This record gives sequence, structure tokens and C-alpha cells, in this order.
Amino acid sequence: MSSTPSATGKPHLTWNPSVDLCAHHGEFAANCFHRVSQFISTLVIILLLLIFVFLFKECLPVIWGTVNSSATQPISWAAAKELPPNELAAFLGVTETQLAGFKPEVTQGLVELKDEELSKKTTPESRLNTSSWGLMLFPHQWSGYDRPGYVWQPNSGVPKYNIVPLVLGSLKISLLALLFSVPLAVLAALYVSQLAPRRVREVVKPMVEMLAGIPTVVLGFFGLVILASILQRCFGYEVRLNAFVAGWVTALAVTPIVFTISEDAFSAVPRAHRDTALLLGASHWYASMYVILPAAWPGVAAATLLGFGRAIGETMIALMVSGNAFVMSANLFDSARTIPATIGSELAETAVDSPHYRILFLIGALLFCFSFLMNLLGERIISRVKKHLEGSVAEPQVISGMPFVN
Amino acid sequence: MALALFPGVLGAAGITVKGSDTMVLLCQKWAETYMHENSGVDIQVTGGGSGTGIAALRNNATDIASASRQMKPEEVAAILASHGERPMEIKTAMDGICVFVNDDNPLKEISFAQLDRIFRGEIKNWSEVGGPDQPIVVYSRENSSGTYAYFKELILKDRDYTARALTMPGTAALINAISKDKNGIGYGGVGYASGVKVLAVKAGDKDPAVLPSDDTIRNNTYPISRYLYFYVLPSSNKGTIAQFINWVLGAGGQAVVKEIGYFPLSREPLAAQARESQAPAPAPVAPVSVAEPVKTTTMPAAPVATMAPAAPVATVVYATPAPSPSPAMTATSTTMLDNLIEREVMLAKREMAASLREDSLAKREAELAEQEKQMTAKAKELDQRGTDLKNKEDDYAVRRAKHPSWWSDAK
Repeated sequence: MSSTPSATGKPHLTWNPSVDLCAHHGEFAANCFHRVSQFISTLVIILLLLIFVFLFKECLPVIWGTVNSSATQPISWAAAKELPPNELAAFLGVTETQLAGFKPEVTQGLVELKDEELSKKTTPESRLNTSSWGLMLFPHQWSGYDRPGYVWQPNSGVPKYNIVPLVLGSLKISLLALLFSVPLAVLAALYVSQLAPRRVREVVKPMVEMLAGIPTVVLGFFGLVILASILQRCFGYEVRLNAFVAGWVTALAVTPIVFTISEDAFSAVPRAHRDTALLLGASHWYASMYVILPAAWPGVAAATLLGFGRAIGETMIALMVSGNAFVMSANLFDSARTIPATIGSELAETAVDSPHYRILFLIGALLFCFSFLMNLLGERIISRVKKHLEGSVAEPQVISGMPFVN
Repeated sequence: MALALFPGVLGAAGITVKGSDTMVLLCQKWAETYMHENSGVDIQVTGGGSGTGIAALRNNATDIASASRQMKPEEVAAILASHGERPMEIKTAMDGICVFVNDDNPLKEISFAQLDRIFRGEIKNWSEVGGPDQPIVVYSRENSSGTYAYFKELILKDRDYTARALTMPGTAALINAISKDKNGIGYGGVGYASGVKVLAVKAGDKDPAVLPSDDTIRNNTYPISRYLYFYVLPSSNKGTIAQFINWVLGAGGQAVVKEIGYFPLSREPLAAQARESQAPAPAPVAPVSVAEPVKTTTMPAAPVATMAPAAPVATVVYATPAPSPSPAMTATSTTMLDNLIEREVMLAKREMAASLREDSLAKREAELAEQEKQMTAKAKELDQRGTDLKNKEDDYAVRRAKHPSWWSDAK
């Protein structure tokens, strides 16, 4: 630290980052380190922005409504030869430069194939633009169904892209997971940090944290083969793979996160609180529940939000255990389809830049925005509560590099 | 074996096969057997669904796409637009799609009409089809699957599956789920059936119910039979890839097909075709995969069973040589056509074997010539050493003569 005497004669201690504390010739190294860390943090922010940009670039046409997935009338090859190039390119679904690069037999082949494809789509529904916002959000009476409904059937004669069942399925499973895991994890954290003897604590804490290291595929497999049968035998519902089972298995994946962060929050409460409560005659349990837990409330809320973010992005468990049927019902024991599972199983076989591809990116972007907003909201609530409890709680270290294995 | 583990290092040729989950077991066994017989080739097999394989073929992510359904016109168009050529369709084996129920289910047979209504959600209780009074739980495959698409086309007449169908990522997962669910019903390839009961299927209400087995699929009395395809771009159909495909279509590959539980290629499903068009169908039936032996839109000028002897470029496609048979065929013309087809197939096989033999003979000759060359070189070397030694001996003799006292025997 350099010390420069001020006007009053007292030394001013400032920290000059380019001055090495230990050695005279370490100035260059310290400078380097400073610049490199600046560069890396900027890079990380740029990367996040790029992810945003990439996601939205792919789904922007759907948002603006310029994607049209309706079918047109078939055109014979003789008539197609007379068309101006921009119309022919629009009919075939290629750009004009690509059309110019084709050999004549290739163009003819493409026109014939397009006619064959269109000859199969003769119902009046084929003229609908199924990727418009109206059809994506509101129920519609499709032919072949007995009542209007929210239907997600992208691989069909008339592709149907209603996203409401997917969003509801995601929410159902993540809220169930939170419902099962948060009480367990928070109470376990409270016990481990406040009430457990030291030896019990040294065993239980690492074991619960080890749960975070289990790959979610293994958890999904365990749920699919063992847990689903056990739960069906206990509760006796008719569909074996449903949102309830998926909620339980996702809770297994979310518990270690909520546990670790809550435990940190409880440990960060100053000992003075606990000691004062005990001195005033409270039992250990009373002190933990009514003094420590309210004091650590921002940390617990942060833990819950992180757990929710993890639960809603969980792919493999939902894919294997939830049954993947796009049912819209409030029944917990019905199968559900989540957004990440849909993206995971359908993205590999879509044609790039097709309406299906863009809509999958749209729901991915929706998920991204939703978790982002939840985190923002959570931060605001937590900071407000913290102000309320100002001076009584140290902010727990949130997001300290937890490995999120999806 | 080591060459299979480290392909790039030792310069082994690599082939990727990607696509159908129904065919993934079969492709893996083909790859294993072929790599065992031919070191220097490395074959990678991936599943993901027929749709995934076809998309990969378009994106140049695979050499061969395996599919359990035919390509749709828009998929062919996409490949034509991006590569300038249509993909070649090669039939590799036959499969029957079985309908699975739990072992405890008392049902033994089911008709197409009932399957249609069950999988679209109109029939919701087992009692409506002769089972116990329990709700039906429908299991299906993901929509990237060829099995899903084929079943939809043939049985559901291109209408949508019910929203309540549980979709499983693969036939093995589906069978595992049904084996644990008493009220389940699902469909899948015949090679995976274990731990569940297979129902006998009848096409119309008056037809006899048929269980899928080796005989019923090969003589096409089982109504839900289909081909399993390989799709490959004509420009990449040469060299190691063509050799592999020829092996798959030949005796070695078809023996593996039988071992896995699918059915080797035989004649066309003419009987099924005749029955299909005679059965009164409520809606226009489009059994494209079963009826049409040759889809002209997906094959470039299909020569029947021709093989250029020296260049392993073309592959054999088991197509009907005669024009598409008319529906009202009599029994005698069927057998005659059968015989013609069998003869053609045999000729094709013999030609293929002959050309392969020629290839291997040419290779042997080259090896022998190489060996001869090496031997003459060695002989020359030995001669040279002989003369060298002789010269050395002469040298020594001269030296001995000069100084006889130095040698121990010259006393």
C-alpha cells in the first residue's frame, strides 16, 4: 500500500493495483493479471449476449409472424417454367440465388417433388398458417378431433404448433419438484447447520452434496425402472409415467442445490442471534425455527429460485420419466411434456430454417427469458428483504460455481 | 481389433451409419461382423430415429442413413436441392411391426379398425375390445421415428395419434414400460419383443388373425410388414461403402438379419398387395411402403440386378422386373412371377459372387507378383554376398601366403 501524506499530515492509505505488495519486480505480473481478468469477464458478458442474440435470431421470423407454414396450390412443370424466378423460388422454398445455381433437371425434379408433397395436403386446413400466434396460443377445432383443443403435432399432414401444453407441462413438473424438495432440503439444512452434533454433520453434509454429482440420466433411469412402479403401487393411479413421478425424480436433482445454499445462509447468520435466543430461554429447536430461519430468509429464497431454474431446465429426467404426452389437465397424475424434452427429442430431425425448427427455438427462448426474469425478480425481492433486515444478515455466496449437470 | 479402435491413426477407412432406432441393433451387428471379417474398415452406428438419419444425410453428417420408412417428397427435395442428386433407396431387410400388450392381458387378437380407434383415442377402455374393464394406456414412439410414421400412415390413415399417448424414446423403452404396465398397448419392431405379449393382427374383420413369425412375414400373410431401408447418395456409393452395402445384401449380411430376429429379403409382398386393394377400406388407403415395390421418384434409373464386374459401384436393388402387378391377379400368375423373380435374384447373386471372386483373384495375383519381386531381389542380394565372401576369402589366402609364420597351423 502506498501512503501519501495529506494536508492534515495523516497518511492516506490507498491501494494501487499496479503496485505489487510483495516484490519490486512483480509490477508487470500484477498488471497482466489485472488486464487478463478484465478481459475474461468482458468475454463472459459478451458470450451471454451472443447466446441471447443467437436464440432470438433463429426465432425472430416466428415472433414477427413472417413465417408461413401453409401449403400452396401445386403447379405443373410446364407452368412452372414460365414463372418469374422469385415466384418459383418462393414456391419451392429456396432463395433466388440457390435457384439460379440449380441445373434444369434439378429444378424440374424439385417442382415434381413439391407437387407430390402438395397433392397429399388437400384439406382446407392445409391453407391455414399454423405458425401464427393465434394458432400457437389459443385452442382450435381441428378436423379429426371431437372438440377444440391445444394440440402440438408437428409431424402431421397439417402441422400443429400450439405451445400452451408444453409451457404448462414444464411449469407443472418444476412446481411439483419444488414442492417436494424445498421443505425437505431447507429443514435438512437447518438441522445440519444448527442442531446436528458435529460428527453427524460431517457425514450428512457431504452425502447430500454428493447427490448433485449423480448424472441426471442415471436419476431418470432409476425413476423409470424402479420409482415409477413403487409410486404406482402406493397411490394406484392409472398412468405409470406421469408428472408426479417426474416431480419426485426432479426433486432428487434439485435438493442438493437448495440444501447447499440454504445451509450456507444459515451458517452465515451471526452466532450472536443464536446465543441470545438460547440465553433468553429458548430451546435449540425454537431458536432455529423462529430466530435463525427468518434471519436467513433471503438466502433461502435465493436457493429456491436457483432450484426452480434448475428444475425447469431439466431435460433427461422429463424425457424418460414424464411420459411426454401433451395433455392439458390439472391432474397431477397425468403425463406431461416439458419444453426441454421437446427440444431434445425433436430438434435433431427438423430441417434447418423450417417452421418447426424456428418454433423449437422460440420455446427455448421463452424458457431462457422466463428463467432470466425469475432470477431478476428474485434478486429484487431478496435485496428488498435484505434492506428490511439490514445489518442482521450477511449475503450468502450465491452461485458459487455449482456444477449444473443437465 | 486394434485397427477398429484407432481408425484415424492407422488410416482405416470410416463409414457412418445413422438413423432408425428399429435398425440400430441390426446395423451394429452388421458393423461388428463386417469389421471382424475386414480389418481396415471402421463403421460407426448411431440411432436417433429415421428422421434424424435422413436429416443427417442432408447435412453431410453421415454416409448411410438407415430408415424404417420411405423418404417423404419434401425430404428428397431437400437432398436434391443441397446435393444436386436424389438419394438411392436400398431395401436391406424386412420387418414386421408387432402390437405389444402386457403379459397379463387376456386379449389375443386385434383388427386394424380397432387399432385405429385405440391409437386415436376413440376407444378408451379395454372392455370395448374384449378385455377387462380397465382404461387403455397408449404407448407410442417419438415423432422422429420411422416406426411412428409408418404406423400412422398404414393404420391411422395419416390422422393424428391421441394426445394422451405416452411417447417413449425408443422401442426398448416402450417394451420396458409395457412390461410394467398392465393396461398398456404399444407397437414396435419384431426384433425387440421380449417380456411382453404379441397380439395377432387381422387386416379386415373377416380375415384370419395372424401372429408375426418367420413364415408369416416372408410369405406376407402378416399384414403389417415393411421394408427396412438404407439411403445413400449415388456419388458416395463407391469403394468401401459400396462393398459394405453389397455385403449387407449378400449371404453374410442376410444371415445376420436372421440372427437378430428380422427377416431377410425375399420376394415382394404381392399377396399383401392384392389383399390390400381388395379389402373395403373406409378412407383412401395409402400403403406406399407395402404396395409399391419401386418408387420411381426416389430411384435414379433403376437397373434390375446389374453389376459392373470390375468396379464395385452399382448395388443390387431387389425390385420387381415386371410392371406393377394389377390387383386382380390369379394364383397362377402369382407363382409364375414368383419364379421369375426368384430366378432373377439368383442370377443377381451369382453375378455379384462372380465379380467379387474376380476382385479377390486380381488381388491375389498382385500379391504373388509382389512376392516374386521380393524373392528375386533377395536372391540378388544373396549372390552379391556370396561374391563378397569369396573376395574376402581370396584376400585372406593371399595374406596367408605372404606370411606363413603368422598362422598357427604353419609350423
